[in-house]
This record gives sequence, structure tokens and C-alpha cells, in this order.
Amino acid sequence: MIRILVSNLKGGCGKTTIATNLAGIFARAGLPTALADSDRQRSALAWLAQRAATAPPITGLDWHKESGEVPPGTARLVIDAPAALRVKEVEALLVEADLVVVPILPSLFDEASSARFLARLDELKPVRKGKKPVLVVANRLRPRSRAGQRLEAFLAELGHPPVARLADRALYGELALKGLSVLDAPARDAAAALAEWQPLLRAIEEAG
Amino acid sequence: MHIVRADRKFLCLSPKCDKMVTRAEAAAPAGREVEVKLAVAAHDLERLAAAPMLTERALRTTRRELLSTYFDTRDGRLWRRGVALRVRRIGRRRVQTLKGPSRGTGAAADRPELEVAIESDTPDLAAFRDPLAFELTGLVLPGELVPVFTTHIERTELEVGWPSLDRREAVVAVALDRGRIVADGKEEPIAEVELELRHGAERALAALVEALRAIAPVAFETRDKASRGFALALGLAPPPRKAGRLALDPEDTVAAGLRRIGLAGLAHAVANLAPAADGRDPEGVHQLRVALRRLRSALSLFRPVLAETDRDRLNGEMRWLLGELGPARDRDVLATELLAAIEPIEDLAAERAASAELLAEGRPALYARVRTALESRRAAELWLDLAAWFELERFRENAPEPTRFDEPLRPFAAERLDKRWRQVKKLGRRFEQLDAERRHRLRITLKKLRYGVDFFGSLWPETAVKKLAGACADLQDRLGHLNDVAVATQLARDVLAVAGTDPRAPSAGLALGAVIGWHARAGRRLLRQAGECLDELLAIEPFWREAA
Repeated sequence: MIRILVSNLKGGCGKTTIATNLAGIFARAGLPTALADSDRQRSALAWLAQRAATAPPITGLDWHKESGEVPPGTARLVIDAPAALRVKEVEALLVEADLVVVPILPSLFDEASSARFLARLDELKPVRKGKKPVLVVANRLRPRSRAGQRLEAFLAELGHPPVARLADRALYGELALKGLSVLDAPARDAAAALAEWQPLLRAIEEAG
Repeated sequence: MHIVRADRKFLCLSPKCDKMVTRAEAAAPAGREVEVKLAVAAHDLERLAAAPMLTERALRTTRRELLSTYFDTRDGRLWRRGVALRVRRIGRRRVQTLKGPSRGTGAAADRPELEVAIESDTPDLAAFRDPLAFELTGLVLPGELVPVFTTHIERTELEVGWPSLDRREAVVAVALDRGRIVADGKEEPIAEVELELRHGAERALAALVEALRAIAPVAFETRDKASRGFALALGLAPPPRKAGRLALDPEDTVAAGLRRIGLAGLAHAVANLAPAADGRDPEGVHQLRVALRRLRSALSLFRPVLAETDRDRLNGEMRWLLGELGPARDRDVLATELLAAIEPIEDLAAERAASAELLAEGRPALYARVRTALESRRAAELWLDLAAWFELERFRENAPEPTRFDEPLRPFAAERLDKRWRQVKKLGRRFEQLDAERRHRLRITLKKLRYGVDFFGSLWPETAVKKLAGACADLQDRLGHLNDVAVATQLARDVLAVAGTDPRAPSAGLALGAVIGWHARAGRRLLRQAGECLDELLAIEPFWREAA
């Protein structure tokens, strides 16, 4: 089993979009998948509730009070961490995970908190010792925007160049309404989007 | 040439099998593949198939055409995970097979294998209905699997009854495969014989190999078809392998010990034949040389019970092969380990590059020599001889006192280890005053002691063995580096002699001179450390004496 924690201090950075899409991709590829929601708002579980009955099943786990058991036979576990998390809480969730995916937006307002979060993460023992990789995802990029270039430079300076770059697409919103992932969309709509996910998927497999 | 692939019990010679436990007592295989693969010339396949020795014993003969397609992701992820996925056409049927990496954990160590009938030629991992399939492959997105290569095989399979030692008949499936591997327009012929034990004593396989040898020239084949296909399609070098850990039984006799140690050594050697011939990874030739030295060391440890004629013959052949591999290994040592010493000297960067270039240019010729030797009939016969000698206990035949083989192994091992120990002690006296020649003798004797400890260690408690083996290794390390000066000097002379009037020769000479100087300077410190290591080693109460 590979356990993936999706986390950032700040809300609204696309955490749930990334967590639900990862879970949906794993399930579509045939892997027994569980999606744990630690957020009080339970938006990941809400996504799951919308999921079409024909889509491959995903086990939903409500972890908003505390983390619990994972069903035996699970091959991939995706944990959607709450926003406004304290480092202590991240540390507790990190015990349940093999790696951390950190979505970051190309926004000036996000930079300071992201920098602080990454620095704190790097201090945690399993991360410091290289046992649990931190994979940064540049999220909701606009093509050729100056903000995107700024983000690249900023992340390089932090020593966390993005593992993947995901464009801002209306597609994600449409899919979310049906509880689906980018891999469930017709290929002609989603080929470009899916290609952006590949490096992240590969990095997760290698870390696991 | 290609050599054996077989299981841990008979000859565990598969490149993927990392556990090399051989067992003296033959027993019916339970849920495992026990097989040997032989490479033959295509024109000899017919001859073997028609041999009365096989046809007269055949219980059943079948002929089939097998068309198998192997799948992987474009970036070769399955192969890198040690996983092979194949869809095989057998007439109208389609069978999908997934093989995982061998899991070397004790008796249950096996290569996981899933098999299921499917409807089309396209693989479908979900069809296995087993979470193990996904555990083996990892995330594979829909449409990501592409055909990498195909094998076209005409298989004649004879099920042969073979008399075994205890007069119970063994049944062996003899598959004669002829065909080709096709990848991306590239093609490689297949001509091989696979012997798989259906039931009965494993020795029957070795006996059958001996019988086949009498009909046509055969050689052990070490790579399975999947490895060959991936090598052809993706241009991957076969991975070298280190010696496995040996597990002897305290109840073993001298013969059983010799048999297991010999077969493990042989398995180590043949696993590295393809990597050595390939040459891309210097570790291949290195591991093959280690295996040969260990085998020679085993013959020397068992010297009191062995026939001199046998020992001389096998030793001679192994010495010949070591000699053919030596120059390639020496060059690699100089180009990698020794030359690295002057890497920090920036002013010598150009000179270092010049010598690296000269060394790299000499490499193909040296590896051509390695390949010629490994592909020779002489080498093929050596492996087959060793296999029969150890597996069928041919070592009994010319032995001066064959009954000694039935004595218990442990006291014998203790006596042999003690002899080496006393030699080390004697040679190490007044260590600081030893000249290079005597230090060299100490190093060689120590190496023999170390191999002996490796071979026989499993007969004694692990911690005591580890302590002594660790102290040996520390000393060996120092003595080895001390020896580097001599090695570097000799190699530098050879390289410069070959370079002759090459315009880079003076630069290379300067760099190699610096290498020699660096190692000579390191020598003084190493000498002091070696003295300390020797004292530490000799202060240990040898484990074999405590138990005796």
C-alpha cells in the first residue's frame, strides 16, 4: 500500500481536487483505493457521494475526528488533510502516510505561508531523513502567466521545484460534480490534463 | 554463451534467484519449478529430439507452436520492478501470465506467478482478480501497456521417465524449443532445451544433462526468454549478482558440504556469465572472478579428501579462465577505483582525462577476449563438468579414501579452518617487518581463511562467526589497499607500454605516476592500521574451537 497525504496550511489551494483526482485515477487503473477525509468540511467525502455508480468503487473513510483503520487489501490510500492545520497535526497525519503532496497556487498571498509550511515539513524527522518525500504541485497555472514564472523561481529557491504543474481547467469542476477524476473523462477532453498528472503519478509510485 | 537457469535446490542459477540454498537430500519438488535450461545449436535440436535415449523413455510427446507477446509500459516500469507480463497464444486460447520478482525468504522463496485465460490479445490486469497483480505492477494507467517483444517458438515436449538413485523413477519434461525473439525489427534466434522435473529426485536432472552432453554439445543457459527479450528490446544490460549466503546443515556429511558449497559457487559464477560477457557493468567480470576464486578456494579447503587429478584438472581450467578475465578486470580497477584517488587534484584534470581515454580505448579488446573465452567450448565444458562433479558427486570416483566423504562435516570444517588460522598466525608474526612478498602471502592465506569462514560459518552460532568474519574483512581491506601500489604500478607500466608513441602517453604517464604516488603515501597509514587489525583478529577465540 502507498499512503499519500495531501496537505497545505492554507485552504483553497486545490487540496481536495488533487486528493479526489488521485483517488479516482488509482481506482480507474484497477487499484483497490481508499480516500480518507480529515477535513471538517468533508468535501472529499461529498465528492465521493456524487460518484456515479458505474465508476470503479473507492472506499471513503471519515477521519475528521481522528485517523482510523484502513480496510485490508487497500493498495492506495489518499488522505485529504484539513486546512489551517498546525504542524503538530501534520506530524500526526504524517505517521499515517508514506509521502506528502503539497499543492501551491501561483499567488503572492500563498507564498509566505507555503514557504513556512515547507520549511516546517522539512524539519520533521521522516522528511529530514529522506524517508518521506515531499512532492510539490504547482496548481491552477495559467499558460505563460507571470505569476507562474514567479512561482517556479520561488519554489526553486525553497529547494522544492514542483514535481508536476497542473493547469487551471474548467474540466475539474465539471468532473467533481459527478464524483469523477481526470482519468474518467473522455480521452479527447482530458488527454492534455492527464499528461500533466503523469509526473506526479510517477513520483508517487517511485516513492512508494 | 548462456548458462543455466534453475531452481534453488538443484542449481539455483537464475539471475533473478538471489537465494542459493542447495540441499543434499533429493526430494520431490512441492509447488516450485525445478528446472535447468541448456543452450544448444539449432541443428542439434533435431538430433536431440530423435535421440533413442529420449524417445525410448518418452511417456508422451507433444508438439506445439507458442506465440507469446510480452507487455510493458513505454518506460519499462514492469521490467524494472522485476515483473514480466505475457499473453500467450496456444491455438485459439489466450493465456495471460504475470511473473513477479523472486522473493528470497527461506523455504517459501519463490517467484510469484499468476495465470488466467483471457479473451483477446490485449492484456487485462483486472482479469487476474487478484490484488497481488496490482501489487506487482504498481499503477498502470489504461492503455499504458504496449507490446515490447514477441517470442515465436516451436516446442517439442517429451515427458521422460528417468531412473534415479533410489530406483524410483523420476519424470522430467524435456522441452526442445526452437524459434526467435522479435523486438522492434531486431531478432535473435532461440534454440534451447528446458528440463523440468515433474517428480522424483532432483539428481535426475543432472544425470539427464550428462546424457544429453554425450549426444550434442550443450551449454548452460542463464537467461530466461523474458530477460533476453527485454535486453533485445530495451538494450538493458543483464544485472550482475553477488554470492548468496550458504546454509549448511549441522548434520551434513563432508560430501554434502562439498556439494552444496560447490553448487552455490557454480550458481554464483553462471549468474554472472551474461553480465561479464556484456561488459557494460564492470561488476560482471568482477563477480565472475570472485566466484571462480571461491570455487578454487573450496577445492583447496577440501583438499585432503579430493583426488589430486580431479583437483588439478578443475583448478587448471579455472585458472585459465581467471587469466582470460584478468586483464579486463585490472583495466577496470585502474580506470575506476585507482584513478579516482587523484580526482581532487584539479591541476591534473587534463592528464587524468587523457589516461581515462587511453584506458577506455583499450577496453573493447579486453572484453572481446572475455567474450571469446566465455563463449568457448572449453568454458561450457568447465561449467558442465563442475555441475556433474558436484551434483552427481563425481568427486567420489577418483578419491583416495571415498569413505571420508561420509564423515560428519563439522569436525572436518573445524580442522580445516584451524589449519588456515594457524597459517595466518604464523605468516603474521612480526608484521611490521614483513616485506611485500610475505605480506602478499599473508593476504592470500587470509583470503582463504575468509572464504572458509563464509562457507562453513552457518555450522556455528552467527554472532561468533560474524565477529571473526568482520575482523578478517577489516584486515583484508587494509592489505588489499596496500597491494594497490603494486597493482597500480604494474598496470601503469602495461598501459604505457601499449600506448607507445600515442601523443597522450606522456600526460597519462604523469597522471598514473600521481596515482602510484598517492597510494604509496597512503601505504604508511594503512600499514599501521593493518597491524592493529591483525592484532584484533588474532585476539579472537576462533568459533570452531569453542564448539569442538
